[in-house]
Amino acid sequence: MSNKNDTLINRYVYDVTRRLPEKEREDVKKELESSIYDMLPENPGQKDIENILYELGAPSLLAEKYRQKPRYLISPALFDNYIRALKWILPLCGIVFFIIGVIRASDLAKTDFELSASSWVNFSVIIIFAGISEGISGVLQGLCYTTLGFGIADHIGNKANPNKTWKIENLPECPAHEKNAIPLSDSILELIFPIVFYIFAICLCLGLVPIVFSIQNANSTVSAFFSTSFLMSCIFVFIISIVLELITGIVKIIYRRWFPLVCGIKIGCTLLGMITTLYLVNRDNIFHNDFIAFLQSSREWGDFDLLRFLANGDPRPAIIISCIIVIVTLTECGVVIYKMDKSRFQRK
Amino acid sequence: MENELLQNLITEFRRGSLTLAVLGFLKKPYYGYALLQAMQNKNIDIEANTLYPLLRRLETQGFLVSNWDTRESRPRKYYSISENGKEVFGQLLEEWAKMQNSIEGICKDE
Repeated sequence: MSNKNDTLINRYVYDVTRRLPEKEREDVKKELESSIYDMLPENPGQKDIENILYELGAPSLLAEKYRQKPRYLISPALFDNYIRALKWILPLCGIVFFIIGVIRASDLAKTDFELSASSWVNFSVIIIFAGISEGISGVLQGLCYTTLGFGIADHIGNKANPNKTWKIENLPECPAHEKNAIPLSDSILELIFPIVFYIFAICLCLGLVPIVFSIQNANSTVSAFFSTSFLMSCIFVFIISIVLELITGIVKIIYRRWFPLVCGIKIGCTLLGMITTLYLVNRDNIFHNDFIAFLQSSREWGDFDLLRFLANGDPRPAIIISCIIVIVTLTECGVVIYKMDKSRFQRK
Repeated sequence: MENELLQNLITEFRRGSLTLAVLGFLKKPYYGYALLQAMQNKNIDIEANTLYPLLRRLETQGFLVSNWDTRESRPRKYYSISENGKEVFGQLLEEWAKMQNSIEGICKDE
């Protein structure tokens, strides 16, 4: 047989055996080589050898068959839990790291930018891209650590026989009827996103992430939209909102169905949220004095221009917004009551 | 698609009985390729990439013994059934007969 054909067989056998434990390689190599030569005709050509190697199949699959125990990073038994964990860990990491990225970038960048109309676009783009970059990094880190954690747990767990460690007490509760159940993913997302938003808003109010706003008013620059007292009130309201969201979210996650208790808490928190929002909308001194001065000194606003009402201190915009808030809140409460009735009906 | 499903079922069905067939053949020694040909001559559809790893696995489990014959120009690894393997073969044969009776019984009931 030519050297070239020998090389082909050697390469195939090497590709199979390199995937096996070291102590098995030599024996499998000898046996496989012997078997391949037995399968070949007298004076085989390259085509004959290729046919036999194709008949034996891909080296990776043959090695898989030779391996006594299958190899996994995460076994099928734990894989479902792994995927479920990723579904909430990855978005959470992405969002948290995005916010961290935005805060860090704005802190670094704000000294480099004059707050003028021409640069605020660049500033915003930079901090958003920094946030996205950190967010992606966060997602990858989350993936890495989750996979590592499950891999270790699987390796430790493999030493125990699952049949012997399994207990009746560990059986999960049956999920609620699909139509009535509050999906867990919805509850988690409704918990995470508003809280992340409120934390971001608190950072804005505290000036950790600057509100990029600039208007040229005659010889001065207006760079603050809201008054300091209003921003402080917002912080107070946002903290209350976070607490309300936490309570609502946790109750929904625990009970998973629109029981009267869940609905009562949801409605209560919604109404409290409405009250705090109405307080914010109707308080005095919402806007910064410089901004009010700009509105009053600027051109004539149209009769129904919102800025006209703001300049005059007219309460009508606040009243209209308050009415909208009340209508939306009552509608939301109505929806919750409807869901509760529907759930009660289904259970009967 | 249906053919593929049927093939998968047939493969699963055969998988257990291949062990029985290999143990049965190895009452006398065979090397890998010779056993492959002997089984195929008896219309037992088995591929080389299934048989060779199966032989190693059965040896690791103690049902087969092996030795290298270096008398010829090319050394060959001969397998034969061990004492443990003979005992297991007998038990597997009994199980196979029971299964056959059960399935025949099910078919007769229909």
